[in-house]
Amino acid sequence: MSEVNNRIAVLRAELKISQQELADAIDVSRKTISTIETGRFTPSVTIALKLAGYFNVAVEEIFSLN
Amino acid sequence: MSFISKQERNLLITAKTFLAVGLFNAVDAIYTSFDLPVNAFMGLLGAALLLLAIYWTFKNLQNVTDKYSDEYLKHIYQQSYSYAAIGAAIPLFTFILFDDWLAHYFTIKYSAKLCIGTMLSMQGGYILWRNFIDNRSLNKDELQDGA
Repeated sequence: MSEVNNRIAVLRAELKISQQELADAIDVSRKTISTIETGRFTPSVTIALKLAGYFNVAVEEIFSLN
Repeated sequence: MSFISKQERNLLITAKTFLAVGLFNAVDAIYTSFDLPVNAFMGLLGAALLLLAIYWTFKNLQNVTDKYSDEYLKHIYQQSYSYAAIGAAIPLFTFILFDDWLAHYFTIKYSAKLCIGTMLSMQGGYILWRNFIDNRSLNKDELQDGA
């Protein structure tokens, strides 16, 4: 669907956290996380950086182009 | 996250109002233009709702970017305006293509009413449909998360 792949679900699974916990941590709604994971919504740079900061990885390790 | 659920609720209320007012006006325009009887009270109610919808739309347009602090809601709301434009364009192009035939039935007033009706229906319908699809996927994720 989207041209951008992401590894959020994998990184979440490694940390054993739910979508809600991740959403609360970076101050967005759970639906934002869910739609980013499924590729129905491409996030802004701000959210991408917040995610990278939370997982402590580079943005490129979370998002990549098809 | 209570502010987000409140914003989501507001967005859904806006969408339902758009859809209801839009459908009412579109159906009313078609009924009246084809000489089908419409109750005067319902016509008045439709006009009042139409004014309310126009006011609400302009009010929302003024602060479209700051109304929703959540990115997902902002994205859906902005996207819905594309569908509103498509909704308005469909009857407009239909009127342009079939003007000779449709001119027998539709006055300018009811053509405008139909355009506004389809515009709001498309906008409200898109938000509600998108919300339905995304909620379905959210529930699936919930099962996977074990939350």
